[in-house]
Amino acid sequence: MKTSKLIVVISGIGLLFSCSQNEPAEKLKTQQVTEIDSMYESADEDFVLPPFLSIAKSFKNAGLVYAKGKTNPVENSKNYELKIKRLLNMGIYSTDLAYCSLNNKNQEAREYLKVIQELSNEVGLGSVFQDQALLDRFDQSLEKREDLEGFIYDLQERSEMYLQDNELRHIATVQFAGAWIEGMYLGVGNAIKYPNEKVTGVLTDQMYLVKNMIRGLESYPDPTPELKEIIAGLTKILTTYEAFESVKNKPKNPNLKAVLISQDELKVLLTEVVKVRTNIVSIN
Amino acid sequence: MKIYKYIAIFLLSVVSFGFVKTDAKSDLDAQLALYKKECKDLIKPARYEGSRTTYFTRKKKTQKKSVEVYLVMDSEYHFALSGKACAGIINLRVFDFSDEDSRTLVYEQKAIQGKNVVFNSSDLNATYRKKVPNADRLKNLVIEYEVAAGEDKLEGIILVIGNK
Repeated sequence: MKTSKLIVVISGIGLLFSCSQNEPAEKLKTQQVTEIDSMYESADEDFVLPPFLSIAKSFKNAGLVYAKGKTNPVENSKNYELKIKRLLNMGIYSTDLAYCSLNNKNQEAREYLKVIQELSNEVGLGSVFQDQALLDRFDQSLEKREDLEGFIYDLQERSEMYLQDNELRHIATVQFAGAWIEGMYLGVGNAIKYPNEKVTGVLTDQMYLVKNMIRGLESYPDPTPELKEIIAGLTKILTTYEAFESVKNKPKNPNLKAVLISQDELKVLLTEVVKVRTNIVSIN
Repeated sequence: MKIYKYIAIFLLSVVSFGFVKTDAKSDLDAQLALYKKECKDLIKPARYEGSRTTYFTRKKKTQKKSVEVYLVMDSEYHFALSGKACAGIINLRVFDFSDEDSRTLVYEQKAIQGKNVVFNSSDLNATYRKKVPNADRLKNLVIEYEVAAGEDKLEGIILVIGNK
């Protein structure tokens, strides 16, 4: 205790003397401001991940068929005790909400909205979602698909604003990772059962998101072992995909014609996706 | 007793450091919030999809900052960005996402400081398809800001993305 006090005193005095003897006050102030400004600098290469509803819509527009019983049951939410699991499952449930809404499963969608509200409260994002008016607005928007989509986009914007304003972008990436894996789980499973080149094209387009998603997750302060497992799982999905015969000799430019992977490759991809998804939705 | 005086001065300087930080950043953020609103109006009738603020301080040499954007939907994307919170020269370039040495330039505007800029994916795609014959459509863009050298104080550019 005595030693630590001494260190504080010595470093304080050292700083004071280094300032007062060597630096004019104005120069010191400029130096301080510069140091603070640098602290807020954005990364040289930043990214914006797309809304989960847009991903779900791109699958739907490509012809993804609704499959009953594939989403994560709302009852599971009560069993997620770790914050990281709650955040990841908020993402899973967000895609389930979008999936049900786009397929006119309004009652199921309402249940998913309620469970997202509950989880948000448990992870400290209650002020974004915890609102009876939100459910009321959801109910009012049920009659028109466009209104319902507008509602979900607004929900996402509300969440984005809150997280950006509070410098909590890393939380948004965790939620996104959950949403992405659920989209892939529903998409790959569907493309195997109902072969469809358009859906497969959307799936391979999604793979370009993985690197930035991993970068975002790696920026999470003090990552838990559970989060590290998810990062390792996503990395495995990416390396597995990049090793596919259909992929490895193709130019790495997502703006060219979509890469189409074979049914066998889809099955291998599904195995890896299922591993990560099971890790997220399983009861801890 | 003298030591306590130094500790008090030290603690005071730490506290004042915190205040400077809050002021500089929150002033800029307040400005950027206004410009974001302008950008959100500029992308209409497209629906808001997301935004990104790029913060930077100018250096002695030109530097580059970029934002990677995904266009997952087939429909038209609208982009609005504001350079109104920038004091010095900013040049804007938009590329397709591929290896850095083989990127294709699809949009460019010099000196965007002090103004808002708007562009859309239909125009970008038209340019891209002319330059890259086997192109599908732009699904992954790199929006690059070239920040000229200058005084090193915190500045920011706001980018807003919408889908129609």
